[in-house]
Amino acid sequence: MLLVEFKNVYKKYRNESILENINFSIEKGQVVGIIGPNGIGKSTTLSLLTGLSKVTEGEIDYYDKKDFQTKIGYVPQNNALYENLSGFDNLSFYYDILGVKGSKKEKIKEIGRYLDLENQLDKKVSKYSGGMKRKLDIGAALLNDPDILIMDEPTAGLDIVTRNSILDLVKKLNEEGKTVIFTSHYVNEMKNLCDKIILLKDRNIIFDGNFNELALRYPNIESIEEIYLYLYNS
Amino acid sequence: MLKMLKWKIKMFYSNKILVALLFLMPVLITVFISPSLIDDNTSEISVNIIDEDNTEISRNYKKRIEDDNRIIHYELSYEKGIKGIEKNDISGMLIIKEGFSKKIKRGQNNDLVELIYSKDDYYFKSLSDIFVQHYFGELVKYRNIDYVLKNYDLVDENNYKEEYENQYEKLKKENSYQFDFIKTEIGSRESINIVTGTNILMYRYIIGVVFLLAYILCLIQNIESNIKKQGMIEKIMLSKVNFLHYGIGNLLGSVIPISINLTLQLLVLSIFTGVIFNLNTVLYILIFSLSIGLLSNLLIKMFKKSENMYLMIPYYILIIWIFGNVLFNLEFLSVFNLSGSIMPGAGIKDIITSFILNTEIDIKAKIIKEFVMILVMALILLSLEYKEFKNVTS
Repeated sequence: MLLVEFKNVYKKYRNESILENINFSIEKGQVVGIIGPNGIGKSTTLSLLTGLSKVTEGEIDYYDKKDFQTKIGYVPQNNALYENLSGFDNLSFYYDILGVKGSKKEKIKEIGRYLDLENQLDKKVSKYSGGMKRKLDIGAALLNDPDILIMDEPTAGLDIVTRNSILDLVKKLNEEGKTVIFTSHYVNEMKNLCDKIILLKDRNIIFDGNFNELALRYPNIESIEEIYLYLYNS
Repeated sequence: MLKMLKWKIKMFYSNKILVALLFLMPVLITVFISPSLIDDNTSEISVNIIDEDNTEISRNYKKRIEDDNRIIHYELSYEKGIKGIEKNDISGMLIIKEGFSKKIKRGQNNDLVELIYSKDDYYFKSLSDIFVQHYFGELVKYRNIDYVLKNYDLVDENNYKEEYENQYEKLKKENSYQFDFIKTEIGSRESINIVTGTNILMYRYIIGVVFLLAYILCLIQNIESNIKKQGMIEKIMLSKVNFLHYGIGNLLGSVIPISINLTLQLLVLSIFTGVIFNLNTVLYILIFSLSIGLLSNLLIKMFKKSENMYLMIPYYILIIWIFGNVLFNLEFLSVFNLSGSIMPGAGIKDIITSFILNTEIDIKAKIIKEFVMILVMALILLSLEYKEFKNVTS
C-alpha cells in the first residue's frame, strides 16, 4: 500500500536551493534508507516528510495525511534528551508531551525491555553511552506505538558494534510491521536492511530502488561501497 | 503548558548537588563572611571601654575608638559591662590594660588590650580589626613623634604626612608589631542575632548575595535545561504541545523554581537576621524571579548564538548594559547591592530592602521600571523562541 509520494518537490531556504525535483514513493512496511554525504539534504527530506517543513514547489501525496502524521515516531539527528534526568524520566517526559494514554509506568517498562535498557532506566542519561542514548531516543519515538518510524542518522557517530545493534533494532521493528525511514551516510549498513534506497547528490535523487537494481546498473563495479564512491566522485 | 511547566521544574531540581549548593551558599556567606565585608562607615557596634592604663597614649587610643562612627561607646564599670553583654544591651567590652603605653614605647605587643564579648556574637568577633586599626594609628603617631623629637633638624615639614603614611603601611607589615589582644568569650543568657542594632549594610548585603546567587542559579538552570534544543523542538512540534504552551510553560518553569528557592533562602536568612517577611515581600520575590528568569533565558539564547558573530551584536549590547552597571559601581559591595542600576530585578531588590529597613522608597517608579523591563524581555524572548520554531519549519 502506498504510504506517501513525493511529486516534483523543490525546497529552497533563504533563496538557496536545497532539493530539486524530488520524486519517490514509500510503501507501507518498507525499510527506506536515504543516503548521501553530510549537507546533501537528507534531513530536509525527512523534515518535508514529517510535515515539519513545507515544500517550496511540488507536492507530497499522503495516503492519509492526518493518519500519517499521527502515526509517526520521530528520532531527531541530535539526541533530544535531558542529561540530568534519568532514562525513565526522559521517557516519562515524552509520554506526557505526546499525550500517550494508558499506564505510563507499564509503557515505559515495556519500552525499556524492548530496547534492552530496562535495568538502566533509573540511571541519569549523562551516564549513558552514545549507543544507549540513541536507543533511548528511539524508545521515546516508540512511546505512542507509531506505525512509521522516521530516524535522522540514527547510527551517526557510533562505533560499529553499537551501529549494528541499532540496525538490528530497526530490523526487529520492521518485522513487527513498522515502516522505517532513515537517513545515513554509511552505505554498507543499508545493504542487508533496506527494501529501498534513495541516493541524493547535488540536490537531486540519483538513484531510487533496491540494492539489486543498483548492482545491476553498475555490473562492472564489485561492491556497493565502490558504486557509492563512483557515484559521488563522478 | 502545565506539562512543560512540570517537567521544567523537575529538570531544575534534577541536579540536587547544584540546588543544595546554591541554596546553602548565601546562608554560609552571610554567616561566615559578610560581617568582615561591612563598609567602614555604616556598621555600628556598642562597646564599653575601660582604660586601666590611663596615660596619654591610652587616652588617645580610647579617643580614637570613641571618635569612630562605627562605634557607640559607653563608660561603664567592668561588672555593668559584663551584665550588658549578657543581656545583649552592648556588643562587647574593650579593656586597655595597665602598662599599655609602656609596652608600646618598648615595642612590646602582648596583652595590650582585652576584648570581651558574647560567644554567639560572630559579628563583633569579626570586627576586631577596628581596634587593630586604631592601635596602629596610635603607634605610628607615637613613633613619629619620637622620630621627630630625635631628628628635629632633619624632618621636612612638607613630607611629614607622607612619612606618617609610609610608616603606617610599614608597621602593618612588620611581624613584631602584630597586635596581640586577649579575647574573652562569655556565654549570653539571651539569644542573639548576628546583626546587632540597625545595620543597613548588612541587610542590603544579605539580600544582595541571595539575589546575586539567584541570577547564577537561574542561568545554570537554563543552560542545563535548554541543551540540544533543535531535536527537542522538532519532537515538540510533532507532539500535541503548541508553541504558546511550550513557550509560556518553559518560561514559567524558569521562574517558579527560582521563586521557591529565593523565598526559602530569605526565610532561612530571616532566622539569622530576625527579619519577618510579609506577604508583599513574597509577591515582590515573584516579580524579581520573573525578571531574572527572563534575563537568564535571554542570556542563554546569547550563548547559543555564539558561533555567529553577526548575530551576537544585540547580545553584546546586553552584556555591556549589564556589566556596565557593575563596572560603574566599582566598590565591591555595590556589586552585591546591584543598586541604582537598570539591571532587571535591581529595583525589586531595593523595594524588599526598604520593606525590611522601613525606609522610604518610590515603589511605584521602581515597579513601573521593572514591568517595562519584564515586558520588553518577554517580547524579545518569545520572538526569539518563535524564530527558533520557524527555523525548524523553514
